[in-house]
Amino acid sequence: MNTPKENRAIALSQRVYKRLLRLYPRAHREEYGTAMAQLFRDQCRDAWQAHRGWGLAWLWLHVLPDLFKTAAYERLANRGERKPMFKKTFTEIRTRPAWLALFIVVSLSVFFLVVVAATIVTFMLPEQYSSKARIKVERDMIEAPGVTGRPHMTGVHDPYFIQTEFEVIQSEKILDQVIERLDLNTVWANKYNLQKLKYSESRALLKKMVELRPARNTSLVDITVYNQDPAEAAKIANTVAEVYQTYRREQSAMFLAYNADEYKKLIAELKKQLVVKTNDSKADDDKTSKMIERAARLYMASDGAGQTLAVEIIEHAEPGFRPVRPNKPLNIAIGIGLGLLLGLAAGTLVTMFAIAMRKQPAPAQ
Amino acid sequence: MTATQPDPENFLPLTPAVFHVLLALSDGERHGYAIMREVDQSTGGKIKMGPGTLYGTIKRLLAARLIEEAEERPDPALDDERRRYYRLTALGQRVAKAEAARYADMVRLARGKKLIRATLGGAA
Repeated sequence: MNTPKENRAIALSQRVYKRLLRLYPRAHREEYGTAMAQLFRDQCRDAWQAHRGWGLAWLWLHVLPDLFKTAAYERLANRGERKPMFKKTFTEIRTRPAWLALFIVVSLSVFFLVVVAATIVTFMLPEQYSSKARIKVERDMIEAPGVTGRPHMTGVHDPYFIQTEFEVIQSEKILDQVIERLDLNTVWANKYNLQKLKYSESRALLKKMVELRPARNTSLVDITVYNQDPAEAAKIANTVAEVYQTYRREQSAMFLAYNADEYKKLIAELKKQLVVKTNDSKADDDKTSKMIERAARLYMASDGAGQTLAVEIIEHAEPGFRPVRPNKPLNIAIGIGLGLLLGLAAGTLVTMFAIAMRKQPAPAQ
Repeated sequence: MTATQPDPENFLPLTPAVFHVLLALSDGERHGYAIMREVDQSTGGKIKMGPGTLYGTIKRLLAARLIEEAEERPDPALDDERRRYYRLTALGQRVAKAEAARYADMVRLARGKKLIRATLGGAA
């Protein structure tokens, strides 16, 4: 039984071939067009069964030059016929040097070959959906204690903050949790008919699907996931956002706990300081005021209510309605552009080579 | 009154494509794709005919009355009834034989010149 992909590829090839049959004179087309199209369909089926997409591409590689050559021949043979398409061109070719015909045939062959190949490849690529979760990423108020052993307040501009966080999101620490929560090792193994995947394998797959992009001039980050299954794409995007949020919360909680502990110790010290006084009252005052200042700072740092939420999920991902990859119009447009370029280049090269060969003197008998 | 048959020699030499199509039809009726496959297999894939070349050749062979379209269609259950089957005419057979004889003469000549070995299929 034919697979949908096979049907699609063969049907597309056949549609293109039927269009190209218009290059033949009408009488020839009416007499043999159906038979030629039928024969080409048989060839397509055999080529697909033998080598799938590559077989089709290889078939086109043989069929296109044959088509252009024989279409030109049939038109020249039928020059008495009244045919609007190409009539003028090929009539001119008859009276002009043969190199012009060679240039046109080679250029058109290469052009159509590239366009057809680009179109076939585009339609054969698996369709992917995208889902986007949006998060707001702020720096933590408190960071790890510095060399003084004291935690310090942030507020200094860090140009590498977002890049660092991107690396964190794509790190083993976050992605492995995503894999675990969604059981991707098993899900993907079943999907691709493989044995249970390792974390490293699933992580590599996941990294290819996840794309991170900052929203310009904001602290918002888009987590976009590309996947053949729209529901899975949304689930992964949301889980990445949630795991990262949890990770940042845990980090903050760790620092808060540390600061609360330090605060308690300092208060105990302060109490002792107030009881035991030295003879130097100024030094005592300085020490006491420094300790109070530090205690106040630690109190603020240990109080989670005073902090903003470091990571907030602004938008949850929803399954996409239509595939975003491959971008079919763009791919075909690139194919047309590339085909034009390569066609002209190939036509020029082959014609120059043919002229150069003709100009060479005949070898002495 | 009988019509005068054209001399097969008038058609010679044949192009390789024409001769291969005649050879493919010498075994019996075939449709286009079967002819193409026969040529591909008999030449070990060295000659690959596209649909354009094949039907261009068929058109000229029909015009020259070397082949004709078979009237009978196969059983639709066994094959696609839209397929068109072709077969050699008596003239086509004579032309194919004449071309084969011409090739045989050339092979003999080449052997005489020791360009190819005496064994069949042996290259020089």
